[in-house]
Amino acid sequence: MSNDLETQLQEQLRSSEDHLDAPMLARLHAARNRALDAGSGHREPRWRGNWLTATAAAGAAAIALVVAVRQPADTGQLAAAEFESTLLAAAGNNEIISPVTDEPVNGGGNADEMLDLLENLDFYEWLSQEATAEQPT
Amino acid sequence: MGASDTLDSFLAGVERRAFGMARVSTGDPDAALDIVQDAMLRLVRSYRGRPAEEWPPLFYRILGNAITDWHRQQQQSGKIFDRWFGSNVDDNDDAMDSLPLPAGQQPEQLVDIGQNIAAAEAAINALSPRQQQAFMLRCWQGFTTAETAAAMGCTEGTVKTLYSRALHSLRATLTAETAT
Repeated sequence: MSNDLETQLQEQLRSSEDHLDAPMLARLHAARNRALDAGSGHREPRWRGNWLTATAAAGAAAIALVVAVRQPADTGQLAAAEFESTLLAAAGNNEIISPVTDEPVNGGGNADEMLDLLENLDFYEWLSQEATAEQPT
Repeated sequence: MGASDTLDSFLAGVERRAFGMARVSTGDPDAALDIVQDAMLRLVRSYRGRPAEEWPPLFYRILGNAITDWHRQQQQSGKIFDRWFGSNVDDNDDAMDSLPLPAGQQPEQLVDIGQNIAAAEAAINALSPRQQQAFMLRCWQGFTTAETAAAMGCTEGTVKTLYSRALHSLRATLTAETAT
């Protein structure tokens, strides 16, 4: 480069690169890492910094799960295993707690009656299947 | 060494200069950092599969475009501000081109000018964005005219014109600084 002005400016500008302070160098280093991470798809930086979005999404998922679990089945009947566990619990506590509403079920007071019901559970299950089989298609 | 390591090395090698160019052009270190990060991100996303020897012109082209975008945004903001508050400031980017070269100034008188980097940066900052880009790529980065043209997406003739105007303006400005 023959021009003195060009030479002087080039030297000064290039030497200025070596005089960046430590915080700025750290920010540059972090910016490079962010660019490499985001650009190569190893991580998604939008999620990393946006905890609010992630928390909201997790909350929405939890609410949806609770609503789904608490939704009564279309048939109005509990699964057999769930019903059995409820009866077993009632036998010990002398009370039936609805697995749907978490409230005591009316009329569920007598432990002996609950034990009888439990002993005849196979009969009631067979009865339910018979009734289903007899329904016209 | 993997591709990402190679790219990391390339970016580590250019980040200071890129930041310096963006800072001189914008006059705002925070904006410069954003611009450099954006340029890095665009290079990684779009060109990491390209041969490493193609990265320098690509990177500086992306950087130049990002700086130009920043100036456009600032200009738009300025126009809105002027419209609201009735300023009569002339936004001619090439106003420096009209400055005459001081008569009787010899190159020797310019020797000490470069020692005042702040004055040099201010003078570069006063150039139009295209002149800045041509000057920084040719002089600061050391690209040839052809490489600068490739990085700027224009002809070599345009680069020569822009670079010549930039030097003319810088010489005029910095010589005037020395005289005062």
